[in-house]
Amino acid sequence: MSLSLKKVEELAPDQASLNAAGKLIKPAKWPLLARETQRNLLWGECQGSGSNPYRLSVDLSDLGYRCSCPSRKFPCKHVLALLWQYAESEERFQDASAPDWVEDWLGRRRPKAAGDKAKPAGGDATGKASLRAARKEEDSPEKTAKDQARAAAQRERLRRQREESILLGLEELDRWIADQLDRGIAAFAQSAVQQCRLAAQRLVDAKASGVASALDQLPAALFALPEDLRHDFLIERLGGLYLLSQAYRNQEALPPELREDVRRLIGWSTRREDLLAAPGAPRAKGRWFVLATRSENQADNLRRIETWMWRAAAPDAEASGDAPEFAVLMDFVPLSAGATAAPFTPGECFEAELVFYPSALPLRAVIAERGQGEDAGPWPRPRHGLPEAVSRHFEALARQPWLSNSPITASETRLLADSHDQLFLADREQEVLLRLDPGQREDALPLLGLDGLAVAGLWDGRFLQLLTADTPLGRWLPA
Amino acid sequence: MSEIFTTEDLEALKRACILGLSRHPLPKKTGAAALAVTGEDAQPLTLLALMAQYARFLPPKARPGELRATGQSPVDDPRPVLPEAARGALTRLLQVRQPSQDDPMLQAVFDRLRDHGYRLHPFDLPKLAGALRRHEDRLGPAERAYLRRLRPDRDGAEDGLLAQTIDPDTWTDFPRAARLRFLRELRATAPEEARRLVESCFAGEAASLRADLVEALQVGLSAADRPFLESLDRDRARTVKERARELLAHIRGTAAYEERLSRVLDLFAVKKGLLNRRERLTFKPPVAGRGVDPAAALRASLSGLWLSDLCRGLELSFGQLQEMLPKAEDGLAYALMSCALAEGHLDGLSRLAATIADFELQPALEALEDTLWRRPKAEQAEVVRLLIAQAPWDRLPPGDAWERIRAALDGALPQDIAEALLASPAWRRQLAELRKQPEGSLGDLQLNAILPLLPSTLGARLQKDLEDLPRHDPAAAYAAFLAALAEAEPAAEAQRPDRDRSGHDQLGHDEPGE
Repeated sequence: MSLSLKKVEELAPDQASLNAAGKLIKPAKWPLLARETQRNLLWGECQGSGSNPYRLSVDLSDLGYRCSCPSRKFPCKHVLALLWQYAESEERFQDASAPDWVEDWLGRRRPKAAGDKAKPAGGDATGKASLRAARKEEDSPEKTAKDQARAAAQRERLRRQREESILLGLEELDRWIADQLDRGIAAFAQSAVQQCRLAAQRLVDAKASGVASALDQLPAALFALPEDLRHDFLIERLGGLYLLSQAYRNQEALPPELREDVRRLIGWSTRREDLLAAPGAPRAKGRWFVLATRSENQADNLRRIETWMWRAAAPDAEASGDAPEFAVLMDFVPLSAGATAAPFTPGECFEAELVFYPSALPLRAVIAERGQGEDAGPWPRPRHGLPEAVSRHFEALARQPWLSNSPITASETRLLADSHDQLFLADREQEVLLRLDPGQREDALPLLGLDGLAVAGLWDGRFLQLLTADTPLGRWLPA
Repeated sequence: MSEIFTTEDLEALKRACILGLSRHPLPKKTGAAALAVTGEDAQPLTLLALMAQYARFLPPKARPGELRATGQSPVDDPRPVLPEAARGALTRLLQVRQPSQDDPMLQAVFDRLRDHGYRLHPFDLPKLAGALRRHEDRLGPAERAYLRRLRPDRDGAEDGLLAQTIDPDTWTDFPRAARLRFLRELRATAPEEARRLVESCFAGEAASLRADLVEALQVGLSAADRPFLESLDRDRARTVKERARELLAHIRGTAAYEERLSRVLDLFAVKKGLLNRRERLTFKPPVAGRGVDPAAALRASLSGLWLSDLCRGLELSFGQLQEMLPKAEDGLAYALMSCALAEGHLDGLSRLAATIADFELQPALEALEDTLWRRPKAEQAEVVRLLIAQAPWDRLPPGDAWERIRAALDGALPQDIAEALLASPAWRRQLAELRKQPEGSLGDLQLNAILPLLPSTLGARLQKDLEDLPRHDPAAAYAAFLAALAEAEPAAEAQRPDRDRSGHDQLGHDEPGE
């Protein structure tokens, strides 16, 4: 089971791919490198720009490969980097049995006909791709201090311009909200799609992409609700947008974490590298359980993939300070890349250190360091019931007023149906009743009649979306 | 926070926001308490933001209708849940199978579960909702309870019925498909009792259901049914009358039967040969209407007539008839097999099959199809066994034939036949061909028709036969399911609900292999 560097060069579609692959050959980029010699298999996980690593596997017997990245180059830089590392330092690959996702890929592969082995893509018309050249590119001299200073000044000038542009955009947003109030939100609901699209476009022009995205998503969320809830929903959303606009104008008066929230909601972003390097960013190390993955297509032609995770503290362990208990990893992939598998499977569990985006309520995170994964088995039961979970939701809301989905966990709950066949999650005494998302009815019906459910879900103040439940019949996950 | 808005404030603000401030300006001093907190002037946008946040801190507005005990839930069922290993195999099968409206493999899954006395894990029901709807008559209480819950129009009274076992006291409360299935099963073992049940509820049922109930009496039809069927000539519905007449024409001694027999006898003639003066039988096939398959017309003419009546009419013994059958008339021999079956004369059926030089399973099953399903279950299996014993095993019958066997058996093949099948050279050849197919079992109609007929006891052997297929192949996944099910059997025996003396479990299902 050996591989030569020459073979890697032959496989590369062009020199640029090899150059890019060269930059990936750093241990920190590869939380997982493994092989199964019996079947000539290699696989690994490469940390890309998203919060979740790309998963790739290679069958060395015919050099077939698969990578979860959306690249249109075949093979992509990740596959080339994996092969490159194997050719150079085989010992970095641990011996293991292929995990399910590699088995799945193997099962779906069409057996190759004889002579249809992976053809070397072998460079372009002008010459072959070469690892030496890629190394050279990787080792090229850094920019001079002067260049860096010039770039920093340029960035600062652009930042100031964007701040001004955003403020103008927000003024326009305030006027737009006031106009909707003048006309009445009953009238607004009738033309919400056009109204919101128009306003969102103006905000994109003003470089306030976060608010623009929130406006774009508003009509879909509005029409997903029963009619009797729509007016209240609009009041909340429009009021929330105005509050955000005001908060941005007065951001200097806000606590630093909340200011970060406000800026991020408006559209400022933090690069993953900057976040990982930030000394003050909240971190939480522990055993993380994957509660659910959700995927949503956005109006900006991106698909947002959310991975909701829960860090269950061991019952005898001291709670590790104020370290966040929940986390959401967000990945964005172009819709044009087609169906993209979620990076994690609900029920998975692994040791990891997560770094959180600074926030009054740290929730969104990236993985800084990850250990081996394992099947979760039963997770530790939450130590509180539903009333406490709702109190925590209010506390979270008080810290971050724009929180849209509160992750909650609760023990000793049960599902009840009312005479209209609506489902509710209730505590034992039925002090608190959270209405289940009607879209989950079909999936959740089998939970009726089961007692002592330990659940995790997302509560938006109207509906609870159940993510998972530990039940006397085992783990429940939505279909 | 809860004091900053009065109820009146909130009402006024909300009304103004909904209708529009230009037409409904805010009353002065609205939200004064809230604004006092912020120290701002009465700006509508400020009030809007405050109201929005205020609303988010209100306790959850459940406002449910009357909460009630859940009644029958999908978790209440005396049968044990499918063991985890078999459940895992089933999950994989569901992931890889090709969804289709008519899915024999999935139907077989339900049948094998029923044979073993298991129920689906409640959490798998949503994934299978579509299939459950299509096979409702094969389900147990938990699955039926889930389906009822899915229907928004169900009324509360039904909840209580879901827990019940279908039996002569409760059968009228069940869905139509389950009732008809129950009736057919009861007719196969206790035809008189089944007819009495039909008679007791008949007048109150809708016309379409009355017609279906009459049709269900085909199973175990006998002279004892004659008075009831004759009474239906006064029924209001034309379809009911027609179906009753059709059944009467299959009961010996009725005028309709004698008329059919006479018409069929006219098609035969016994003549003496010109040279050797030996008697020979000639047969003139019935005239088939335009577009009607002549073989089908022949089968319809002879359907339900007794072989002994035909012999008597022709003044021949069965042996003479067998000897004089025209050699070129295989179609007639196949059709006469159905007459032997109608009479329960299985030896005659076997001997007729032996007279056919190139006996094939498919035409035989076609000829018997109409009669076979009216016979008791045990006899159906016996007939299939006889036919398969006659069939040459140098090649496997086409997929259609297996479909017919499945319909006739409504269950798995008897163990010895299934074993013989898996040991045959034809099966080995089939497997060898399968290994060459890059798409695996997907396009193999024969294999996909045979698999649902195999009993779970052969799961491990089947799994070994298909081990070369990738584990994502539907056939391999099905084999793994069968093997896991068979392996779990001892545990199931301990938990299985008691069965009554009639051989039915509490759900009214037959013992496996019956």
